[in-house]
Amino acid sequence: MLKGDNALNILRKSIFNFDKRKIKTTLLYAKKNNDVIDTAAVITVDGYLIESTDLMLQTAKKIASMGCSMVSLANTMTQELAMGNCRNLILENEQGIVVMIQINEQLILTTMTRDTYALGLIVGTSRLCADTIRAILNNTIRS
Amino acid sequence: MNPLKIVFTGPVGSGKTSAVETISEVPVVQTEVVPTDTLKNNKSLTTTAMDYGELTIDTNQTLALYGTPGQTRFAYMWDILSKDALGIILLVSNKRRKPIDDLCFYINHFKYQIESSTAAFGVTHLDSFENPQYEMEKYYAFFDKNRYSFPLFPVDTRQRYHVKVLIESLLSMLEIGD
Repeated sequence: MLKGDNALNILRKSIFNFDKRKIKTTLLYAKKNNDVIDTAAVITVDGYLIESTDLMLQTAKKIASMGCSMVSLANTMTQELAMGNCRNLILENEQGIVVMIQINEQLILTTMTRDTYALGLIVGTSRLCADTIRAILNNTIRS
Repeated sequence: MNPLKIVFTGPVGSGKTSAVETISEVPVVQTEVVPTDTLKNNKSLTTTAMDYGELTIDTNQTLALYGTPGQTRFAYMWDILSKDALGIILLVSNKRRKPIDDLCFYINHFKYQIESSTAAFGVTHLDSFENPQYEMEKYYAFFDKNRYSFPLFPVDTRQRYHVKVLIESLLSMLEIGD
């Protein structure tokens, strides 16, 4: 299984033609400079993990596939309501908040906080992080 | 009256979305995205959460039709969607490398649902639907060997009649069970 996963990762890297290290650096930077983010992951719209911080690999992979299903359903719902595509998806319970933000047509940023009072902060921080990753992928800035 | 629910499942590219699209009387709710892996060489879109359609089977009875994603990384959706389902329609593509292994895998995963309700099976992507006997033999043999007494048909999921036969055979199985 691991062998197949490695092969897929190599393939994915060539498909996207971007440096995963830059994304990892951006996630780590965002986490270091914003206490509010406990974990973060960049996933593809079809459920693959690109990079994550502070998540066990198996958990991160599950979050990748579940996150993509949720964003896809959210898109279907907003389109049904003639609202276009879904930009952010927020899950909240008594133990924390999960935010999913579309980075571009292929990637989604997922962040999580255990601070239940930090909704505005995590949404704002996640948007900045998504903007930075988008800029890196578009080669408009250097990380 | 609550809608009854059946679930179309099976490996990626076996025609689940196509089956729901073909038979549904309402616009199908879809959650398809452009694949980022090698699948994009074969398919332009892939389901990530579910397909949903409806079919009226009686004057007052609506059948809710759910299609699952095919990839095993979405297996959690299989369990969510198949909960309380009336039955499972398992599609397997004859074009896959090991379709019998696919059958075994999905039968094993849906064992509880199949035992507690019932199932019907469709083989898709046959070379000829006019004379499918030769290609179907290995599937009939597999069913005989395992003593499965479920309906098994060659299916072109783009043909409304084919999908209807699958659904009707599933409903017949339920009547036999009653």
